[in-house]
Amino acid sequence: MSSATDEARSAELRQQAEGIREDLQRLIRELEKVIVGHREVIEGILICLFCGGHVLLEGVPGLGKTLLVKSLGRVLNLRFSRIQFTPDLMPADIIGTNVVMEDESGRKHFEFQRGPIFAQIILADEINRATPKTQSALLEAMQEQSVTVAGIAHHLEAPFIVLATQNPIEMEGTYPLPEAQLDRFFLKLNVTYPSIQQLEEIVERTTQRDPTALQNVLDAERVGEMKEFVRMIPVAAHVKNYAARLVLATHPDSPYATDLAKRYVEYGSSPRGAQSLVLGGKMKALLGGRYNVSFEDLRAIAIPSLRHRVILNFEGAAARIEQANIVSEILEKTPEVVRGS
Amino acid sequence: MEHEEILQRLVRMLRRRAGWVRRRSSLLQALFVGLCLCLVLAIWHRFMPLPISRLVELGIAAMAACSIVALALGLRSRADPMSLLIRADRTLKLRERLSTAYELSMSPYPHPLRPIVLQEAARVARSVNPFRVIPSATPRTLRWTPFLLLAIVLVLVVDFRMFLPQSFIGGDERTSVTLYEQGQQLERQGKRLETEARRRGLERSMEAGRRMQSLGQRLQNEKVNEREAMARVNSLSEYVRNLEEELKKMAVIEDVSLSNVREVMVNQASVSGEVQRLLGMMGRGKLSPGEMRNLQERLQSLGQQGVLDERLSEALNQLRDGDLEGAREMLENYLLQDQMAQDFEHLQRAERALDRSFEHGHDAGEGMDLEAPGRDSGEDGEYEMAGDPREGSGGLPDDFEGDDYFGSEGMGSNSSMGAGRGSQSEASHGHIAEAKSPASRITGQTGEGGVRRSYVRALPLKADAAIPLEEVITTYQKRAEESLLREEIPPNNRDLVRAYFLAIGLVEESAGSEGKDEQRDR
Repeated sequence: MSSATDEARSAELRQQAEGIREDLQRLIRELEKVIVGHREVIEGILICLFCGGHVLLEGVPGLGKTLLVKSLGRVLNLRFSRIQFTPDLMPADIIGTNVVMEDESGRKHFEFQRGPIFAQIILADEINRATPKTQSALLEAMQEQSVTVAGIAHHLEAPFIVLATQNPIEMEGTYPLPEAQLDRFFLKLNVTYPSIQQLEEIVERTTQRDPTALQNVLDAERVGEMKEFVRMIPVAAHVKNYAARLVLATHPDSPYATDLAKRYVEYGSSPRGAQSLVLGGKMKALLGGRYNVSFEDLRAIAIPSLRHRVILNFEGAAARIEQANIVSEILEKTPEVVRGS
Repeated sequence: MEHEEILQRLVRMLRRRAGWVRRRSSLLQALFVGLCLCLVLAIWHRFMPLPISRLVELGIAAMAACSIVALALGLRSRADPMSLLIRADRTLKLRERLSTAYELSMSPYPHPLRPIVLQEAARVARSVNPFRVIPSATPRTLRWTPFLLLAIVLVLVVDFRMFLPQSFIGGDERTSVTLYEQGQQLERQGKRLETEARRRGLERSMEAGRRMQSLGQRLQNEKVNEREAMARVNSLSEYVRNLEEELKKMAVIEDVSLSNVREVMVNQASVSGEVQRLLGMMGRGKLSPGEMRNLQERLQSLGQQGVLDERLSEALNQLRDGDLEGAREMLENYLLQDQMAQDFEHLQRAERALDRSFEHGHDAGEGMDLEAPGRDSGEDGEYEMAGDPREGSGGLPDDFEGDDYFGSEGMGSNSSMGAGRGSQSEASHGHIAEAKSPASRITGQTGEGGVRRSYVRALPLKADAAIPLEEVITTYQKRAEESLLREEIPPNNRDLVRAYFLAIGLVEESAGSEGKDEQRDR
C-alpha cells in the first residue's frame, strides 16, 4: 500500500517536475528569440524569479538589458514597469504619493497614487544614478514586497522582481549602492559584450521589418507553483555545509577565509548569501533535470550570489581587486567535503 | 521501498569494499612499520650484536605484531555509509544523488520529493562499481620501502667504523657475532659430545664435552674487536677444515662435514664396539662350539681389517686355546686402554684447538707472545694428526683438571693420534718427544719446482691414520705456504705455522737425530 502510494506520488512529482522543466525551457527559448546569447544572464534572471529574489545587472549601455527585462515581462504575462533612475529622482516618484483629490461634492481627501513600483517586473535602470535616499526607497519593496506610505502598507503583487541595472564605466555623478541594498539582490549578473557571431545575429534580428513577436508562456499563478516546487528540492547536509563554508570563507576573520579574503575583504557575505547559494543551487538542479542540489550547482551559482556581498577594504579597492576573483579563490581552495562535517 | 533496498545494498557493497581496502592498507602500513622496527633492530645489532637467527626472529616477530595490530584495528573500524556514498557521488560524478537520497531515506521526517529522489538514486546505483569508487591504492609511505630495505642491508653489511675516526670509535670491544655463533656451535657440539659420552659411559669424553661447552660459552661472551674475532674464527675454521680434510684422507669418514668429523671422534665405534660386543658374548657364560667359532671368526675379521694388534692377537690365541676367561680379560684390557686413549685424544684435540683460538684472540695485539712455545707451536701447527715435535705439545691447558691423566698407565703411543710414533714409554709420561722418534722420508711436489724430499717425524699411528703422513704432508705444506703468501694467516701467526712445518719437516733444524733434508724447494 505504502509502496503503491509512493510510486503514485513519485510519478505525480516527476510529472510535475517535467512540466516545470519544460516550461522553463520554453521560457528560455522564447527569450532567446529576442536576446542573442547571454544564456547565463537569462538563466540567472529566471533563477531569481523562481527563487523570489532580485537581480542586479551590470553592463555597459546597449547590451540588451532593458530589452531582456521587457521581453521577460511579455512572455510571463506580468505587469512590467521601468524606472529610469536619475539624481533628481525622489522616493515618491518610485513608490507613489498621497495626492489631494476633490470629489464631486467638492470635498477634498488624500488618495494614494501608486508609483511605478506597483508592478510585477520592475526595471530599475541605472540604479546607481539616484541618490541613496531614493535607492533606499526600494529596500522595503525588495525585501518585504510591500511599501508603506503615510503609515499605510501597500502590498505588491506577486510575483515581484526588481531588475536593477548599473553602468560600471560612468562612475562620475553616481551613487554606489549601499551594502544593505546590495545584499538584497539575489544575484549580480554581468552582461558582457556579445561575440561577433552574436553581434551578427543581433543585427540580423533587430533590422528586420517585423520584430519578433513573443508569446506568453507562463502566468503569475504558474510562476507561483514553480516557486513552490523549487523550494521542495532537497539539499544534503554536506552540501549545505559546503555552502556555509563558502559564505564563511568570505569573512576575513573566519578560519575558512582564503588569503585574498583575509587581505582585501572588509566585510563578508551575510546569511542572505548562503540562502542565495542554496536556493540558486536548487534552481540550477531543476534546470539540470535533477531533484537534488549538488556541489556543482553551488559552484555554478557562487560567483553571482556572493560577489556583490563581499565588501572590499581600502586596500582591495585601491588595488582594484575584483570580488569575483576573491570568490573564485574561495571556490578553488574550499574543499567540498571535510572530515566530520 | 525497492529503491531504498537498492540503495542499502549499494551501501553494503561499498562498506565491504572499503573494509577490505582499509585492512589491506593497514596491513601494508603495518609491514612498513615492521620494516622500520627491523631497521631499528639492525642498528641495535650494530652496537649490541645479536645472533643473526635471533635478529631474524625479532624482525619477524616485530612485523607479525604490527600486522596483527593493523588487522585488529582494521576489523574494529567501520566506514560511515554517508561518507562512502559521498565518495561514490564524487568519484562517479553522480551530482550527490546517492548521498542526498540516503540522507532522505534515513531521515525520520517525510519529504515530498523523497520517492523521486530515491528512484533517481536507485537508477544510478545500479551502475556503481565499488572497485571504481574505492580502488585499492597502495599507501604512499610504502614508496620508501626500497630505501628502508637498502638501509637495513647497509646497516647489517657495511662496517661504518671504517668511516669514523678512531677516536670516535674508541675501545668498543664487543662480542663478535661470528664469534658468538662459533661459540654457540661449539657449545652445541660439546653438549652432543657429553650426551654421547654419558650414553656410552666415557667419562673422559664427558669431561671433554663439558670443557667444550665451557669454551663455547666463553667464546660467546668474549669481548673482542672485529678483527681479532675474525682472526680467531678464521684460525678455528682453518683448523677444523684441515682436520676434516685429513680425516677424509685417512678414510676415517666419507663425509667431511664438521659434525660428522666430531661424530667419528666421539664414536670410534668400529673396533671398540666390536670388542664390546665380543665381550658381551663372552659374558653369557659357557659358550657352545658354534659360538666359540663365531667369536674367533669375528676376532679374526678385525685382523683382516688391519686393526688387530698384539693384544687382540693374544686374545685370539687364548680363545683358540679355549681360555675364554683369559681372552675376555685381554679384551677388557684392550677396551679399557683404547677407551682411555680415545678419551684423551678427544680431550686433547678439542682443548688445544679451541683454547688456542682464545689465546690468539687475546694475544693478537701483543704479537702472539706466547709463554709456552712448545705448546703454541703445536697448536699453530693445525695438524695434530702428524704429531707435535715439541715437548709438551698437545698438552692440556693449565686449568684443566685431567692433567694427571697423561701419566696414567696405558697411554701408549699406539692409541694417541697426537702422540706421534714415539716410544711407548715416552708417550706414557705425557711428553711427546718426536725429536727422538724415527724420521720418515717423504717425497712430493709442493710447487712449480722439482721433487721435494723431506724427513718428518712423529707420523700418525696406524690405529688412527689410514693414510700415512708422508702422503699428505706435502699438500699441507703447500697449502700453508700458499696461505702465507696470500696473507690469509695473520702476520703474528705466520712464524708459528712456519715453525710447525719446520718442526715436522726439517729434522736437522729441530733435532738432527735421524733424518736429513736432502732437498727443499722454496
